[in-house]
Amino acid sequence: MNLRVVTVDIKEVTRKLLCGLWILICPQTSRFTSVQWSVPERDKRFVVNIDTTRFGAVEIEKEDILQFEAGLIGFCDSKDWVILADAENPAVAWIQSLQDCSLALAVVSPRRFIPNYQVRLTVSELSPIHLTDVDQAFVLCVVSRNDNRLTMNLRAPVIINLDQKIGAQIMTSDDQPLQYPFANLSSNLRQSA
Amino acid sequence: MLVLSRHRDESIMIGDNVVVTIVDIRGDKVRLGIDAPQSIPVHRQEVYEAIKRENEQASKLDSSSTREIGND
Repeated sequence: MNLRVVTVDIKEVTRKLLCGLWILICPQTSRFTSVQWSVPERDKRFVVNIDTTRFGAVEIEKEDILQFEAGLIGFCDSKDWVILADAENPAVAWIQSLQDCSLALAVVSPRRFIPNYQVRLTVSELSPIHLTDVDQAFVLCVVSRNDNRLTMNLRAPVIINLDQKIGAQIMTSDDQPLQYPFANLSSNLRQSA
Repeated sequence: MLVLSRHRDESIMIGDNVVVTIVDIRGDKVRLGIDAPQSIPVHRQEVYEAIKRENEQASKLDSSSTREIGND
């Protein structure tokens, strides 16, 4: 088993820019790092076993469970999610549903690929995740494959309140691309050649 | 489907907390004002459906197909 739950490094702070009614979140680039269990400290009371379709049986700590009150868009029945690191690729993580063992979406930290990416939201759009301090926002974009190209969804990022362990997929107020192709991927280059 | 006729500046109530007001009517375009609790997301349907399709497409990705991301 080479997958472990990600612990998000709180030091990867996001910057906030308040422009009138808009909030701009400028997420910092982050890497998804695997956390090794320290065996003597493990306590079964704090551990949940999930049986995932993609990754097999995975042990997670209860405190790593993220609550999505509205689920993800189109997956409103999945309220509890956990972020699993991909040990083979620190640029990618998987957001795994606890309600549906077959449901997991690949996510990336968008700024790693688009240095000037900003999330433009209204204050009320952030209210479902009770975000009072934008420094506590962790921004992820969902990866998909369209026409054989790997793309990321910049229009509706997943925003997580690290402090309260709650998240939501929120549509940005501006017209960001829904399918933004990754640059410099050999498969994407082949496709466009 | 329930169909109601409304004039400009008139509203309808949906439940106790959602008010939809006809703000303006010009030709075939109607501007709606929606007053809803923050816990109820309000979206244009075509945008919502596009993001839903994108998430469904993303959920079909297998764990090996993201290998090349970030290897730059």
